[in-house]
Amino acid sequence: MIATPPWLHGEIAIGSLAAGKHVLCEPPMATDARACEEMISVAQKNQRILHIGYQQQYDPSNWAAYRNIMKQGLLGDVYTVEATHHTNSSARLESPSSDAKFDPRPWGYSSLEHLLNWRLYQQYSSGPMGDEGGSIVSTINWFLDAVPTSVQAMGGIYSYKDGRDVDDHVYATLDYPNARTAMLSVIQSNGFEGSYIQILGTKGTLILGNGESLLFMEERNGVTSVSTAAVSGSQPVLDASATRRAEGADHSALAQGAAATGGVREAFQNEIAAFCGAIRTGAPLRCSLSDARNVVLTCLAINKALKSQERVRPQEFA
Amino acid sequence: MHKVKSKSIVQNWEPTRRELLARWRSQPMPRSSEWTRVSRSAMACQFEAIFAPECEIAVSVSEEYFRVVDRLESILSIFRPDSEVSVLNCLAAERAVYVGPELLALLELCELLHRETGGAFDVTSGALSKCWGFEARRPSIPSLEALAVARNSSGFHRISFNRQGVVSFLATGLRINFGGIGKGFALDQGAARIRARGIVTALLSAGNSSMLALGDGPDGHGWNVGLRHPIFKNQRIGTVRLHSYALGTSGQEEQSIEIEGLRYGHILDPRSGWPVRSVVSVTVLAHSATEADALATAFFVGGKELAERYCSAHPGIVAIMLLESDLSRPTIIGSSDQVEVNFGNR
Repeated sequence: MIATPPWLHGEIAIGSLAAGKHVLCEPPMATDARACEEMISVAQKNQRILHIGYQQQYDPSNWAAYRNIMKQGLLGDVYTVEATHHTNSSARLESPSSDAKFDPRPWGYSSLEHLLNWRLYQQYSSGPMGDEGGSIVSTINWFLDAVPTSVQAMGGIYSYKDGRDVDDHVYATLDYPNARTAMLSVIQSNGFEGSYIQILGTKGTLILGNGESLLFMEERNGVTSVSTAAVSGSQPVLDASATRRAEGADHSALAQGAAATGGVREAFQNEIAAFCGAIRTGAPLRCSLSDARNVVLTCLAINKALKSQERVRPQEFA
Repeated sequence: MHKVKSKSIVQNWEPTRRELLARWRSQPMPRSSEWTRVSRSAMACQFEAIFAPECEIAVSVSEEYFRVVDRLESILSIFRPDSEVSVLNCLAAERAVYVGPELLALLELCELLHRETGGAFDVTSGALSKCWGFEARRPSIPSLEALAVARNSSGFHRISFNRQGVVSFLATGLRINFGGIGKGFALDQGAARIRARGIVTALLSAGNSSMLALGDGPDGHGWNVGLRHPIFKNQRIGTVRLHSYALGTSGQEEQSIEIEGLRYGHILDPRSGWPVRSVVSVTVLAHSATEADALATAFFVGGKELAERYCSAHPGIVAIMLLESDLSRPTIIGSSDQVEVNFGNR
């Protein structure tokens, strides 16, 4: 399992695959397209499993929303997707004084500050688009069953002029086939809306959250909540009582027979289980290498668009 | 000697690395255990449905189900001034009012249940509930004069209706309130839509007080539902397993009033006009959620005697009652092949 800064993903994955190991690699797949192609090629040549850990596809609540809402066409025609990853944090780590004498140069980092804060420097990471932005792009691609044909972007280092060279604010527009557009903002100056993806269709709106999806149908008021649960026969699934009013609804107090299963932790566990299952039985994994590579191409295109202020096609990087 | 024997047992039982690996490789892929849970607010509570992992239409069928519930709420709610019931309550004492097929069907069912429960179930006690302040959720003891007026404006015998759906009230101030049956009725009507889409396994709940189980549950031994203790809320009085069966619970947890040092719940005896005290909670298991919901209210009012009389005359109905006289041990009345009641698992 590779959980290093992204600039090392390609080198470690290729070496591991060539040594006959199956590889589960944290996203992004790599920081450039060439490394992605080589990783795929070495995995195929050595007949080893290479999987990029976009765990959103292993979140049961996301999967339930995809299968039960998106694939069933409940949203009608979708033209617009809005997505955010908003935080109010510099993401900067301070080095403990006890490590002051540590020399990270043999490992490719010019200083301890660079080693700790690799997310803030382009030479080690792809910036916010490779990191949180990439996960969002991966999920949008999955739900729209498509990859962007072109992107536009603006942004910059607005809040944290602390020596970093990656942007702390990125606003990107992604054009998908069939007149579909996704608007994505990754900012570090306000955490109000947190992280979500909102898919807007002619019949309804789907909001993907952490462990629960919300569905708003255009024709009527109110919201339908969709989540998942591991239902056990041995434990009560629900507890009967006198009527519990809507605002006081509480599934959790006693009943353990339908434990909620969505969320990040569950997604990670499922992903690792699926990776092991794929090694054991050859079962297909949910996010293909082609999908993971397409996310990298999109993020490279957004990063280029940020600099050029022009519309950029991800396929330029293929 | 003993030590050597223990060691040999451990050695015999400890799998080798090769065996562990072989066991791991032979394990089947874990089957998805992710059941889909869909919920929505309606009728002042949470309507919830749990569908099996293989069901890919859980949300679309739930939307149809919720549309049925929304429609019934727009007909039955006394909190919506434009509902059919509100219009009926407003006009039927002055002139005959036509009602739609759903409301007529429900009135016919309520009339039957009223008769079969000796008047313990009565949807016409809206004036009494209002008089005690329970409708506005501000309970207070009414004057005897006010109570007498409210009693004269209550009683199913003061409704007249025919099969064409023409309804008249024979007393001014009479108010119908389907609070004791509406959620169960909505569950049954919604479940018909779910079954029509070919779904045979699901658990439906309305505010946790009305439930309807489709099929035999995740392990084939019936849907396992806990019965929460109405006073010690982190405990259960028992559990039930439902095979294509319904459940209704009535209790006095929601609102209460203190009279001469004693606490009374919001459920009124329509025959006396006073709150009921001898029963703390009732759960009824029945073929339909409508029936279970209404009978839970009726048995709460009519007590153990009514439950025993009714269950002996109606095989398949089960009542689980917690009486004021014994809060530690529930009383079970009646039996059914489609349910299993367990007081050991709390």
